[in-house]
Amino acid sequence: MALMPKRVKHRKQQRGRIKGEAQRGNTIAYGDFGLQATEAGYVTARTIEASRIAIMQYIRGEGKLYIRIFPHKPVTARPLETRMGKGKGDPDHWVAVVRPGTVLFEVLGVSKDAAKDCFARVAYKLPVKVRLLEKTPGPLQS
Amino acid sequence: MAADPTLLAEPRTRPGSAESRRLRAKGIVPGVVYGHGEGSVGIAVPATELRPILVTGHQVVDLKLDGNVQKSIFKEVQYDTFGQHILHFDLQRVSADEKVETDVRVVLTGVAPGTDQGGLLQQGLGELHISCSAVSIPDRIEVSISEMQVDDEIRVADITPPDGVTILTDEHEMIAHVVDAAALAARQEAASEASVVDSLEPERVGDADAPAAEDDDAPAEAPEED
Repeated sequence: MALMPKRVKHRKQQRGRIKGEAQRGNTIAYGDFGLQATEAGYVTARTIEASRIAIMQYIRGEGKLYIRIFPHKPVTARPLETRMGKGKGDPDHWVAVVRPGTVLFEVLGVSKDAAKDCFARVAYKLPVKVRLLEKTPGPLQS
Repeated sequence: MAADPTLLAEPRTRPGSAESRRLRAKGIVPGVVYGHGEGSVGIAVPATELRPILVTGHQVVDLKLDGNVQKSIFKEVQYDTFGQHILHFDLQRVSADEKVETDVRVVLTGVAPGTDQGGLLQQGLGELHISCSAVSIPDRIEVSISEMQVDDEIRVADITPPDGVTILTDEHEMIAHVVDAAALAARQEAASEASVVDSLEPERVGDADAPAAEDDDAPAEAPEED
């Protein structure tokens, strides 16, 4: 298990609906290039960790990685071969809620080609469609 | 600083969000102009005219509205989630000698020698909050990084502003920093290992007071035998 909250108020949450687009966390804040989601979805902590490893293998000693999402939401599951009922299942894993526009990862100190290759590897792992985002001097994104 | 561009605007006769949506669908950006004791006026500008002005970093424009030309400054520009479309903009009327506060881009120039010695260039602030007269707003403030070695940093206090410009941003804020990439990678790796947790269940708020409430489904502990 990778990322998860240290303390929570409630150990189970309702599913809810992912509505609208990202109103914050939708621009590059730290790096030169970012990976931006173009659709909504849940990214699990395991996927974030796998993506982190893939990026670090690529940019090790050369650049810096920023992970812009965190899995705050617990997802419950029922044990295998159990009957329905008897209440909600136990927490199974943690997910980050991603809206269209959310910047998932950023890298600093690598060339555009390297960032492209690096994020292409990560895009295969992710459950949402993504696009490469480049830092621009003004607010208008490339 | 280049001459202020002219922005040709049409007054908006029908206000409201629905009408604004219709304008955007036609490639026109709704906006508003206000200030100097005059009332606020809804205006509309083609996106193809507005976009190049914003991309070049111009803050002040000569707004041509109903045959009158008035200097105006961009107070706010709203973009869509993906930063590709301009949704709305605010202009404030200004006079040439008026002092205004605005944000100006910081552009790093040159190549830091430290990046060839295993350093990684981090840019802190992308914009500086400045005060100057409306006619002398710079398009950008250039900061040279051509002498930065590993572990060198440039803060706001190190910048010499152009004549007539006062920087209002906190002088301790970091503009650029060349960090040691190897040390940074080691720190990052250590931090990621420290964040790995074996347990699935995090601590619950209030557990310190009531540890018995840890697991709702756990069987109650058997009472100790005397």
